[in-house]
Amino acid sequence: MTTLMAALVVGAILFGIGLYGALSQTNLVMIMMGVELMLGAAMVNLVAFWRFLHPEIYAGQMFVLIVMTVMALEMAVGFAIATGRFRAKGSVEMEEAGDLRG
Amino acid sequence: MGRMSITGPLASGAAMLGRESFVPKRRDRVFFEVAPPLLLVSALLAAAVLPLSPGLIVADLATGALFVNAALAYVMVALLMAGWAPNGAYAMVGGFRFLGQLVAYSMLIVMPITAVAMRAESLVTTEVVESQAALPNAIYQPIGFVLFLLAGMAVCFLPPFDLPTAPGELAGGVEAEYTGWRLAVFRLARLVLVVTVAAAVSVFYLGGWLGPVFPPWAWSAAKTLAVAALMLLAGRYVPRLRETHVLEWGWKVGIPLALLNIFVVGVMILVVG
Amino acid sequence: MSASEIFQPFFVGIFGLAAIWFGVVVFRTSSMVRSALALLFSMTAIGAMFLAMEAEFLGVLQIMMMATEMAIMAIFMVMYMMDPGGMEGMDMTHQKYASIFAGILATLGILAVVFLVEWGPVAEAAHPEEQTRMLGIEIMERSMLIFETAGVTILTAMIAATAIAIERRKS
Repeated sequence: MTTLMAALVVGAILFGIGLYGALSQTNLVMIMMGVELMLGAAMVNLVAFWRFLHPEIYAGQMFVLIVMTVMALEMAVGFAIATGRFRAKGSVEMEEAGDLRG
Repeated sequence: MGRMSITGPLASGAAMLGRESFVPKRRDRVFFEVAPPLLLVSALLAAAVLPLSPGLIVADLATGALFVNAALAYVMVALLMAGWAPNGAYAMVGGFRFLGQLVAYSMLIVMPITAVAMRAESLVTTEVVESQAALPNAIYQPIGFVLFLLAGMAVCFLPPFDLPTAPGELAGGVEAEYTGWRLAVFRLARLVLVVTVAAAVSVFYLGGWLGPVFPPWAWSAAKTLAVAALMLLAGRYVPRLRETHVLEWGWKVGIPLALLNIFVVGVMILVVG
Repeated sequence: MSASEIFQPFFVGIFGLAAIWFGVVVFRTSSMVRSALALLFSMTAIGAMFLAMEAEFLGVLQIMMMATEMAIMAIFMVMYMMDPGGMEGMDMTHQKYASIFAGILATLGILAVVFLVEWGPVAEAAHPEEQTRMLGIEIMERSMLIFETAGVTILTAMIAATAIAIERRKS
């Protein structure tokens, strides 16, 4: 039980840090790092729930695999967009990306 | 010059320890210090899950074969740190070119391991060795063997894949800014890496400790040394490859071959095994 | 208390603290490459937590994937950030207080749920070898459709990313 609590607390704090990062950063790459931290926190919670509450249901591990896949894909597409934006505008600062032109 | 001596490497290693240690001025301290030990640690971690003989393994993980790949991934991290830290152009270019190699070879390490694990029906390294009792994987899965061997040479950045530390072109590249005892650790780590990858090749493809007459550990040692010698010598006869070519060949030729390998092995297991 | 009951919370806690510390470093340092590599080590610590929680396959997978992904992220940071070395000390944040407030609010909300809910008894987990096999069976039997969809999604994402990033031909 203590281990479950410890893991969930870690997940909560990581999520908070990730949320702070995703909201406060102006650069696309840094925002993505915040999102990665949030997804990591979610995975910690998922594994903790799987291990301590339902270790015989392997759909829990399946869920974690899907979240890992999502992390990788979101990074790939995000960097592709960053590349396109960088070519068009010369920077990936999201403050300047307010309007839909270009 | 030109005479082989047993104490040669030892003497030069000792000399390197004694040499003066220059450090670049505006270096990134953390990365500069951490990169060589990280390289050594990742090589040792990969070696920890490889068995020398049935009982002689440091950590018998249930996912041993996959762990080898995980540990080798940190070679990239270490070289990236080493490239960035000294704040020098040659080192950085070397580090980034290694990234190009990484994108090329990382699939070619994991896919042959997949085919090997398919035959062994397990990721445990000892079971992988035992599954080759009838026939070593080098003969059962020759495509995978060649791909893994080449990818292994790329991981260790041996010639012809040695762009990161190219002596002629990049004035030593990633290694250029390391002197004295740090360079000794770096080179030692690279040698341990070569031996580890050779051991991985022998465990996955040559049947590890299996063999008649001699004790198991002798077979393991012999096979590992043979593969290591092959890896170290093979590059001398081929010109250095640019990372663009490595990427091209790796993805256009290597990945389809690796997929074909998995397919063929799958069919063979279903039909024959 | 058995040995594992003492060691497991300890290791999960230690790796958790490492993950949190590296996570904080990600946003506190001004050097971009240090930021990316701090995230890498945070993810590795999360992978180590998985290993401590006896999810061996997931832990090894996490450690392996994150090393490569974050190294690539470091490269992209150097390409696209204005000050990769962090030598000029710019402050690159906006709406700082709102974000800190949001972060702390989220953490406290989650912690409230963690401590107020009755989680029930803790169960035993299978041996790691068994687990890998059971996970494989789960993928191949019940979750086959999910996995195939994920595969197609990965392919789509690869094609999309390449299409977005490729330079327009001057024709």
